[in-house]
Amino acid sequence: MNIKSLILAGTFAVAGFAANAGNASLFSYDKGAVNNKMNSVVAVENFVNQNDGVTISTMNAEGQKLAATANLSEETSISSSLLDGPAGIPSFLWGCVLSALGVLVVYLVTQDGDETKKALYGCLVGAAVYVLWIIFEIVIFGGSFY
Amino acid sequence: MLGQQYFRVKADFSIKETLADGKSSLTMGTIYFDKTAKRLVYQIKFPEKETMVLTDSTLYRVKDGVIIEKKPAFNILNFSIYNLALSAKMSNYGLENSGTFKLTNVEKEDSLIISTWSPTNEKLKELTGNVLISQKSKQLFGLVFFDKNEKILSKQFFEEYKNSKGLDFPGQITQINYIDGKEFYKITTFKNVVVNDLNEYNIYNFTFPAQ
Repeated sequence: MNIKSLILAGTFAVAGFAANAGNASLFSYDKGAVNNKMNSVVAVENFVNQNDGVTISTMNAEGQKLAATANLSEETSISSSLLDGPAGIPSFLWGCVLSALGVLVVYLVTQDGDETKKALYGCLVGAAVYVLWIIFEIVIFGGSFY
Repeated sequence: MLGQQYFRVKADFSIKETLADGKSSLTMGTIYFDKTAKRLVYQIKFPEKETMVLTDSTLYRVKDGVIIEKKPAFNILNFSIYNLALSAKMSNYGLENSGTFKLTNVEKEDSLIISTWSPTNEKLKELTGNVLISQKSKQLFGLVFFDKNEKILSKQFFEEYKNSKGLDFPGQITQINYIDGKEFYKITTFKNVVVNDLNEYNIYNFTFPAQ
């Protein structure tokens, strides 16, 4: 093996290590920053835990002050995070095509608008085929596949 | 298969979130999931008392004994972390069976085993990039989602696992979304995890009020 080959092999080895190190380093986050950002919401959470049965509309002045400091929304986020689909298209269609992970991916991706919308419509074709297949099964086979 | 022996999980939950409009959100309550009944029931106590029930096709919102909202939710239940955990599929987030992502690389570094999953569907490739999944001590530790230009969209971390009747369940899930150069956080915590609970049958098998 000549010097040139050794240098080349060394370069690949370093590059390989760097790639690995890069990926592992992706799996970290600044816990301090997250906790700082959530401090005011945690204060409301603690208040709720200490006042059994309290809701946002029955909070006393102390609770209301904490909620105001946290700029707390009055809505629960469960429904929206599960179902409100990107580009105004219900997520159940994405569920048909892409599974729940797909729903999440599409939700995250579609923060950037028009270009993605076009791709989403393309995915809809797949969903339509799937829905038609289910209808076909139910009509022709009486849903006996399930 | 070991996972088949688990059929129910119950836990107190809290979801704290920072929103893009500058507000924050807090939802607290108890979740009940029955794999056989195919019901995920959220008994929400904050911000307002209500019940949400996710079936394999629909999400219902029930308040004061009345269904106030009903939305299609096809296939979401199967991929909920509750179902994945009870089915012993959580370590790879159910991607193995998704059919939309394929395993393209596995590497080990320090205590992490990192697998790379790439979209298989051409349309999906126009939308998104790879998903990296890391496992630590055979447990799902982190997810990193990339867009089609390999820019990070979101990270999720599954931590503080607790074992209940042999089932490992995360005590905290931290999600960081990167939108327009800003970070938005969502922390879901689980406490008092109970596996294969034989009580509270009526909640696990929630009966919908007549409309």
